[in-house]
Amino acid sequence: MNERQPPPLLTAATADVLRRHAPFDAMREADLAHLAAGLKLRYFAKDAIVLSPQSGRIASLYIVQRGAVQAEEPSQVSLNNLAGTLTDGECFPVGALIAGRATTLRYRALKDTFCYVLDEARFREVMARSPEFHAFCTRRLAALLATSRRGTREAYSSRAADELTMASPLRNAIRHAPVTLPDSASVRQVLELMKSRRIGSIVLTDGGGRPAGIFTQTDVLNRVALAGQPLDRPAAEVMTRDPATLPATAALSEAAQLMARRGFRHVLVTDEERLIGVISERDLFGLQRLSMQGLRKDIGRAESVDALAFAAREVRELGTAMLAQGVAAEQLTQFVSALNDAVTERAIELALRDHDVGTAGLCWMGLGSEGRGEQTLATDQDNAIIFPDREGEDREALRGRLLAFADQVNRTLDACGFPLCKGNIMARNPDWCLSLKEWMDRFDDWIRNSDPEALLNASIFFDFRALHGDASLVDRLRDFLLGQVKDRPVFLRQMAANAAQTRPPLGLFGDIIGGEGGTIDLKKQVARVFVDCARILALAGGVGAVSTAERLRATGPRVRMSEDDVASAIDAFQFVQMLRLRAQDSLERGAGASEPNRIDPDSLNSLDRRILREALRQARKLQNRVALDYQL
Amino acid sequence: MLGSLWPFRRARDLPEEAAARVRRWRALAEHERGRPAPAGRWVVVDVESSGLDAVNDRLIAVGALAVVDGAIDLADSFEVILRQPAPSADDNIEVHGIGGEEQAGGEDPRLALAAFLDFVGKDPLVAFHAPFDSTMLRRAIDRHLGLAFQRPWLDLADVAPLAWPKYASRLSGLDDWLEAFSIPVAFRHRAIADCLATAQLLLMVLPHASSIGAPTAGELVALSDSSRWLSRA
Repeated sequence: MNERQPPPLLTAATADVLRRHAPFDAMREADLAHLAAGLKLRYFAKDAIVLSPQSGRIASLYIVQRGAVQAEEPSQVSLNNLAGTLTDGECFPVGALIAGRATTLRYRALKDTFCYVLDEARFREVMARSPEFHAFCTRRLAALLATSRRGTREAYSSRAADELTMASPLRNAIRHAPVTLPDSASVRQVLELMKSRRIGSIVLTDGGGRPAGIFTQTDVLNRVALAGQPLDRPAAEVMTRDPATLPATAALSEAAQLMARRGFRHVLVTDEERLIGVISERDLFGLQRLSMQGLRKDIGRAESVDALAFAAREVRELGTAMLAQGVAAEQLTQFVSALNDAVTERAIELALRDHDVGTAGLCWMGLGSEGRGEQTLATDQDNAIIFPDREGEDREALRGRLLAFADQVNRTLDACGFPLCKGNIMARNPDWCLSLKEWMDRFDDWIRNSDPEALLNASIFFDFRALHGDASLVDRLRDFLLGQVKDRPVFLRQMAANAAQTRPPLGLFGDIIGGEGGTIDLKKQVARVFVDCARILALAGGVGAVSTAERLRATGPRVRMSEDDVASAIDAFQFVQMLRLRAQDSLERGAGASEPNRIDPDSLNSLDRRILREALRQARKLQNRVALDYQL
Repeated sequence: MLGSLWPFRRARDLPEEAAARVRRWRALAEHERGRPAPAGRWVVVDVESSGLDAVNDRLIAVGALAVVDGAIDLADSFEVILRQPAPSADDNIEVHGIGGEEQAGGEDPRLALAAFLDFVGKDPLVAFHAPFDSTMLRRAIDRHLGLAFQRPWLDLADVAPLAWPKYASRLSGLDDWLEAFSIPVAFRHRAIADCLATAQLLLMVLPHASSIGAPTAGELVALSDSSRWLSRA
């Protein structure tokens, strides 16, 4: 419809406004420009209705330029209210526009508000050409999460740079010679070299080989294409002068700090003022993986409890640094779990030296969050021992030896920062140091009785995993469990009823309902919903997976959850885990609340609060699905 | 003798493209003065010139942006730089940022202004402190196209104070109004960016048309004329 293009200045100015917000900040410049060029701008005085169900089929996307729009239920009776306030940069009504239907909510200007309006045809074009925009519109939670992770990274980045012990000089980290052109080169020559070498930046050097400036992909759009500059212009006139530069003797940590402080992705490395290489953000990430492997080796080589405790502390610090880098929660918890596993394994190896239980064929099991591989930074111990039933062996004498051994492991782990379990769910407790046969009897008993205590035990012990020793014992126990549960629908129904008692703290109108002091308990009120529901689905479906994400992935299709439903539920769970990690981290630094899993939703930024709201909605959705399955 | 009195004396010198556009513009029907003020098309205009003397300074650039049925359509916009025989003074260039080279490389003024006519059509025009913009344009169009460009102008400097009387005494220049309503402007004194800011002010004024006694487009324009006369009487 609009063949006419706005002047570049209007497009660029509009794109600049949008780029302050997700998902526009992640879109390719050309796609964002295409979007911006198709916009209209409308004004809504305070209290004006922007859209309502009476507006009919939605044919435009609205983006708040500035102001505030309240989304509200016209009737205010629905239980499934997604109401909320939309502010600068937020889009609506995405669902209705994609589905080509009327909106169910009414959108009202809370104050004088300007909205960009994108017609449907252009909206679909942008969806088709921009994967970022498409993802945002179709998987809004995932896109918001990505933004949140970036935000986390920015918030923490200066501190992370301090804590990483990247003491080696930049000279050692240079991977290849820099790609340069003399500063007399034309813009065209620069672009051609960037294209042929497939690189995103080129350094321009003066006659003496000294870096004069850097020219990046972003500059192409902003300073050449949009500014309408001819290609035969000298690149020196449009490059970024005085790029971030460090001598080759500077430490990597200095480069990290410089990038974090000045928002650069590249730092030039010079030797006697001559350019010898470029260090990118990615190079620093690569280094971190190396130190992770180094840490793992340190754990495996620890010869004493003290050495092991030291390595375990390093694990926590690295975990914090990764959190600060915006590493996704699923990877982060996997990483923390993997290193915690290594610590546990080493604790066992050290104890085996002092105890004659090596021939017993035992297996050390992790339970609860450790079993699921979902440990956060403040996790106490949950473990148990399973050993084979051998004919002619004195079971009690063996148990006695195993308990002494387990006691030493438990105490070592305590010294390594995994506090002793308050509920005494530890391998040194005779109740949880059992033979395979005994475990089977115990499980069978819980499944038959399904009283409150049995259900509580099931929620801890049914998430078990082999950490050291003969894993086939654990496999046999799991086969037994899945076989028993299958024939006991009453037990699963009881578990489902139990799980339904935790209600995500979501209000009638989509607001987050805080408890004491306005806070919510992320573990008990939110994460538990996902964990419990996933466990029930897995047991009902005969799935042996233990982690919540894997359980949901494996069972989703059976309970008619679409791939997107499953992905959204997992994203939501991981986001809550990430918030827990962050809360525990600030607690350790003396900056947070007194309880590691409590947060005040008002202390979150608006983006994270929105995601939390969406995560709570996902928790409730999952819970409703399980409830439906068991007709609760 | 007759030639010097002929009001369209320059028409025969025009490139055919410009001449065709002028003919087309003349043939256009006048906009509907009785239409409700918030409906239909308004064209917000801003000019950059070699100085602040509307009679003697030269027109350097023109920006225009349409507001149609209460919405700014970014694609319904216009921007042109007029070729200058000599660049304007340095302190002037600092105001609008259009350098000497850009001035020399601008569009043939006849083509530029004909394209402007094509863009605005016979829709009512809008500016903040309209007399300056209207005078600059009238003189330039007369000189280059030989056309008397007498158009209705809505002057927001006159009408905005009527819509928000309590601000009237405090706010005078465009910058004051933009600041009062938090209207962002990307590059002040770039014609098209000023148009975008002014157009946002217009969006806020239009809903007030009825309450300030000017429910139709014609009345709103008239209001800005009469209020100018009153304030300067």
